Amino acid sequence: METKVRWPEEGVARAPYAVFSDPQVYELEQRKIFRGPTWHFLGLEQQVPDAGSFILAQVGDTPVILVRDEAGEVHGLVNRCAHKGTPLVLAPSGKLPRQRLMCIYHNWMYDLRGNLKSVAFEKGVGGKGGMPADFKKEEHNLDRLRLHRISGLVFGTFSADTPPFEQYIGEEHVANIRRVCGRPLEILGTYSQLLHSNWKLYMENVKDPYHASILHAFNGLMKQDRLTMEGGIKMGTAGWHHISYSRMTVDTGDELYRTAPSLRSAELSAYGEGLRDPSFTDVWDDHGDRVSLAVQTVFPCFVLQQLRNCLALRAVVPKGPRQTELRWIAFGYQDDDERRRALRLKQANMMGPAGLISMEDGMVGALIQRSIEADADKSSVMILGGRGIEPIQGSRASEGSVRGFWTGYRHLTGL
Amino acid sequence: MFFTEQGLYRITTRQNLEQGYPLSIMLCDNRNMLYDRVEATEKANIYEPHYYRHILSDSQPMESKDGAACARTSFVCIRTMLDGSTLLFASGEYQDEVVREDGVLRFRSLTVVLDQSRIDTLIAIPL
Repeated sequence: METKVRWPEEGVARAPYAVFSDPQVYELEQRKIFRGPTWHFLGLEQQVPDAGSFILAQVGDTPVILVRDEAGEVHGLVNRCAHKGTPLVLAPSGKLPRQRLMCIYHNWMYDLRGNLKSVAFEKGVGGKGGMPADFKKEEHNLDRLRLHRISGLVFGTFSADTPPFEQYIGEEHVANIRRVCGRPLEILGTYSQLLHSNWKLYMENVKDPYHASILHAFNGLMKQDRLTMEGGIKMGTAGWHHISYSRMTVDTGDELYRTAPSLRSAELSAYGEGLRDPSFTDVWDDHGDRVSLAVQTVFPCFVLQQLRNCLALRAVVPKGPRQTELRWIAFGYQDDDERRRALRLKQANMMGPAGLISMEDGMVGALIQRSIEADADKSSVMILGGRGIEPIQGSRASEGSVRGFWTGYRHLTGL
Repeated sequence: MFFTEQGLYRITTRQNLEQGYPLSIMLCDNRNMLYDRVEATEKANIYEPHYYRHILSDSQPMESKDGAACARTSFVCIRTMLDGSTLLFASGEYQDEVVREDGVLRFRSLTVVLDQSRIDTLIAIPL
């Protein structure tokens, strides 16, 4: 059943509200984006360290097992037995006790590359029953993803048409992944949030530098991220991806943020005289380039975050048109000393469900989801910084990166 | 003052604890950080107003540790929004270390271990 949603003629300067709730649009996205020529984050190499180690990832609605085999290779396998559709793995992570995936239902057994190796009672019992003579195991292997590994991150794709990962995101984006992840990582922990809004409302939020110092008063007042800081946006291949970055040591924003009548921060005069505990501001330059904030997205659903020394990966998982699961992995570096590790854990107060910076991001989508229900034929208006996706040199006062998301979206869905 | 000067308050998940991961959802390791967190919650952060209702079990005393009396207490927290929608929002265990300072009992540490590794929307108010 085709959707009736039509895009306004203003193009990516608009997002029709119907795309955030229409069930046919959701189905179209599953086919054209999540099974389409796109790359999806599956996990970190070190989450699957040994032969038989696995984690369960999610690509749209499809659960994917990321597993390491006996030869040390990793594989992305759809978590669904070829027989009757039973999931093979029932826990979010673990280690398979024997080097195989065995279905609980009829013990169809696969190797760690997803090849069907045996099925119970294949030869029947006492010469009767069993599988027919034309049964060929190799016709019933698990569905597989093609993988790409970069700096300890593993991405996967379903489509044979997906361009190579580095071409998909572009040079500058590859460089930032290597910049942040290009040394042995140490996972500090994981958690997730259930958001009551469409996945695209969250992606718009991550890609939007406009709100960062406004919705998150902490950012502006604590001088962590202001649009007056030296910085910019890098858009990646075709503008679908983005990196928003800034250097907090070069900021001219004090007067603006404290006095502009159009900013809430000017009203919060009693707050932000300074944190009583200044250890939040005890930061250092992890990457040697004085860039203190870099938020990167890889279309459609991946985020790599550097907020000073608070580093994390986020995977955005759609759960129907009106819900999203936001999965976080916080990390540091294996060569961090105790002091840096402790400070990263303190800075993690800024991220996650109780994030001093991030808590509003999950919440604002839910507010929007409710308020657009009654007018699904209307659209948002995104014209800050123009109507296209060309980045403005040295400025983040633009919604171009959000328009870039919609550019990729429209290209793949045809909407 | 319910906490010692360098008192620790943190919220983490059972899954993180079991896997040996140190990450906290909220972390305050001294009284000043507690103050900063409360001030941010009251003045800076934006979220839909809501109420918590905690139900606690009896506290189970544990073996004392470095001069502190330790206890574990199960809890359930129900969150109600202003429109009345109600959610069994959080459950888990408080792990406490309590010391006597100037004749007063204070938390040297209070760790909230959540059963939920998936949080509904956000946690603005400490649990």
